[in-house]
Amino acid sequence: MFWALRGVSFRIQRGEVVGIIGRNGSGKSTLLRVICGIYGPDRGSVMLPTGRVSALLELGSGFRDELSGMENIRLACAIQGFSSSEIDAIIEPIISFSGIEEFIDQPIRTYSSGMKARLGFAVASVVEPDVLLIDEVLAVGDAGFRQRCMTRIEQLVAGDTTVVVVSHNTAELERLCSRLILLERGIVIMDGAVKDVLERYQQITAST
Amino acid sequence: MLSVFKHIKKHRYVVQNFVIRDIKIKYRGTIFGYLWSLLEPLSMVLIYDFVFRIIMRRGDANYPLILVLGILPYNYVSSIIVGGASALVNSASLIRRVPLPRELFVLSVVGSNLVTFLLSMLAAVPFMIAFEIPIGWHLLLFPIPVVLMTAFATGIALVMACINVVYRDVGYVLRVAIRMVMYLSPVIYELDRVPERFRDLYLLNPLSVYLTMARNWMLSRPIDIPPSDVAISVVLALVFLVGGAYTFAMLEKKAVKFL
Repeated sequence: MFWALRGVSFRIQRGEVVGIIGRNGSGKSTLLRVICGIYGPDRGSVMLPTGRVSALLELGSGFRDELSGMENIRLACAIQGFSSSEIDAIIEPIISFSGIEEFIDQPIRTYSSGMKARLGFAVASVVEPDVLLIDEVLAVGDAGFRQRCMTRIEQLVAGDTTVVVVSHNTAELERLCSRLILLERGIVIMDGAVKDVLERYQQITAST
Repeated sequence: MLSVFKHIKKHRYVVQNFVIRDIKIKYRGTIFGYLWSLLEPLSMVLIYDFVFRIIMRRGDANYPLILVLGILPYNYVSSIIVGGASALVNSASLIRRVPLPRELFVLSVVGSNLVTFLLSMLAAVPFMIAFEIPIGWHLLLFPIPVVLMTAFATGIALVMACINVVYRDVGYVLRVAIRMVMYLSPVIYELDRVPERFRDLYLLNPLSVYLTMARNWMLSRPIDIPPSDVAISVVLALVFLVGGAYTFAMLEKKAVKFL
């Protein structure tokens, strides 16, 4: 039997921003899915604080191509736990954050991948989660939009949100995170300060 | 009650949105839109009526009415089972991405099919007018078979949805089974056409009871089924629903890893 993760154990303080780094197939995305409850762990357990856990995994891939941007926003908000009347109240700021007002009534199959990512992050931008899980979502979108996303995440962090972010972008991790966890073949091989972990990560990637 | 159903209330807006989305997508890009929900069963009525009443010279003058009141409910049951069975597979990308209780995907399919079914029942109205069916108090009983059919089909759909994730054969098996069961249930004929010696065997199939209830009560006629068989079919609806929910709760955690 293949184990995607083994013996992974760590504790994250409230308000901490932790990055998870590792090569392709090292178990980063699986780890996020276990944390947010998509996969139940086969062994062990995950303890989360009570409150809203919001996950941004593979952004844009869950949208329905046949529906318009507007309809997808409503759907995504409902998934995040908003009621219909709450959605009516927040839909305007979401649309303006996304910056695609002009095409909001078009089916999103006509959108570029960057536009879909904008839509996805815009939905997340109005949520005030206690725990935010982010998987590679900032890889798409243009520089201006990425900048706005970073600002938004920094705001959330300042407001006591705990963030776990998966990324290959070392500059991004350096800017956001206070701590990194390095995964290799499903095992935590290092957990510590950003600079030290990045150094080790670069050694690993250079050796193959 | 069961964990599978306790999430519905909390996530009712998700279910509501899924149902609306399903119905919107169903008709998007079509010219006739909702009319297809009427045209599809009506075309089947036309064909069966031609084959059995005109060519085989069977069936009374009101055979089209008998057909429409059999085909619409049966389509409802079969579309819950077929649609529900592929609910997890079809939503794989969403399931991998958001931590929603998985049963919502199956239950949303049930919801959108219920809406479509109730709207498609309008197709029966012109037939009922044409054959001068009196509006009687029996009509008020119509929700009973609807609830029973929904429970029965939902139970099957919940189990099939999980198995389908691992073995995609489910889709093919169901397609064959649904056609066979259609001919072996009182869909295109009435239960009293079934020879006496097969009657007990027929009543083992709870669908026979639900379909007869639905048809006869729409026609303001009593059902000619022994009360014990009615009771058994009601219990079976509950057994299928609870058993399906229980099995789903056991299987879904494993199934989701195959998505």
